[in-house]
Amino acid sequence: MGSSAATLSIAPGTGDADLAGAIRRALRDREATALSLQGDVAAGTDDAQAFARWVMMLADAPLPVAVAAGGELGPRGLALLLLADIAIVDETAAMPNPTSTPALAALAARALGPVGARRLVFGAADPVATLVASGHAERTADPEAAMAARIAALGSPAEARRRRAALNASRHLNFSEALDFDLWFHTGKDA
Amino acid sequence: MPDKNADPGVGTEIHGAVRVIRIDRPAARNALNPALLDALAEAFDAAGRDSALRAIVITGGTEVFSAGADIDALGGHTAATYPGSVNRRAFDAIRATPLPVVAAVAGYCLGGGCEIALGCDLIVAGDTAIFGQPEINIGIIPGAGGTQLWAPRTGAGAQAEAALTARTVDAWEARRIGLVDRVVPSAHVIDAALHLAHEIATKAPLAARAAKKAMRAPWSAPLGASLDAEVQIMSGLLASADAHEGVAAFLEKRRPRFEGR
Repeated sequence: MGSSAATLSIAPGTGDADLAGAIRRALRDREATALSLQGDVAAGTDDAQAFARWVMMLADAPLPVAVAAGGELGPRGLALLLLADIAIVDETAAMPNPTSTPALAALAARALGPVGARRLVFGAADPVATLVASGHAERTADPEAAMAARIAALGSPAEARRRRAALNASRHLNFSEALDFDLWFHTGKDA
Repeated sequence: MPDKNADPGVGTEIHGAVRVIRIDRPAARNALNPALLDALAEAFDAAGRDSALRAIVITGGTEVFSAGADIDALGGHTAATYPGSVNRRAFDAIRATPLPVVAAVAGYCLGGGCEIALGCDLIVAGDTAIFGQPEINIGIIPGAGGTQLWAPRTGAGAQAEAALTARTVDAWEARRIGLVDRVVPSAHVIDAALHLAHEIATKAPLAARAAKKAMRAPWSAPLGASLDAEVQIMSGLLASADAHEGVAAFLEKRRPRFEGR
């Protein structure tokens, strides 16, 4: 089976509640290799509870999350990039005020670890550059091509989802239990 | 070889000394109706009477455990009829079986489905499992253990939140709060539960049943009486051939040969 993403293009003016609903629907696509988000990333937050809902949906998504961002990022854009397994920014991507992003500390610590999180939380002059320098994001002149190549490299939908499930397990379970979880993929029919 | 019985929505399979009881009503997300509950009660009763069995696995498959009771069926009850209903009989039968029971849970495990899982001794969750007691959303309460059986596993806070807010918890949170005992990929949840059940099946059968009986004593008596019951159960077990065999095998550094007597 080939690699194809469920693509969600965020239209300008989309609120957090609508974004949460769109993400929920997109995650129902069982044939997709990844969930790819792009479009308007300049928005802020208009509904904290809905923001928390879509953050949690992406954080525990059953498949890899890919985000492409360009231009001036708002809090939504930075949150999306921090939640992404594949984060791609173009050469115009910039964010003037990262500390206005809700839940920045939790999102940054999850994505970058404590050192990277401190850089963002305590005011990195260029947060996009921080994401790139840390290896979390890839900067490219052709985000579309880069995204396609990264998604193609994920392999089949089943393989991509297995890897993502193991990653989720590694975040939520202790080491021993995460190990046991992953080993189920290497027994019997999944071996 | 699957041996699907005639009752609607419940199948059984034998895997050595382990019986798998499967809720099998996928078109209704394994919702629990009277016929299915009746069949479940019968399946648990029959397993409990089968001296060749050492453990039970209860599952709804790898997609959904059970979305809960058929609301239509609940609506037909009155204050007079519910206590004597098949609902009551089925959940009592699940909790009363003397065999150790492992629940294999994937997908939705809500309402009565969650109460079935909580009536088991061990819960293996797939990573897609979602647990909850949504009854308060329709003006009732969990009526088959859902206001009681979270607390021994999770503590009073999670119990209250489940019963009073109907908030659901995913597999990861369920593991974190102690609601479930393992989290595995959902595609493997039955394999993992069977693995655990077979591990139990290798232990001394009398002791396994006795341990379950002793662990369940607090469900029907205050702590002091439960501790007394534990002493009585242990006293009887010490006289069994299996207990003698277990001690002898340990002292002789060999594997025990338990015969269930």
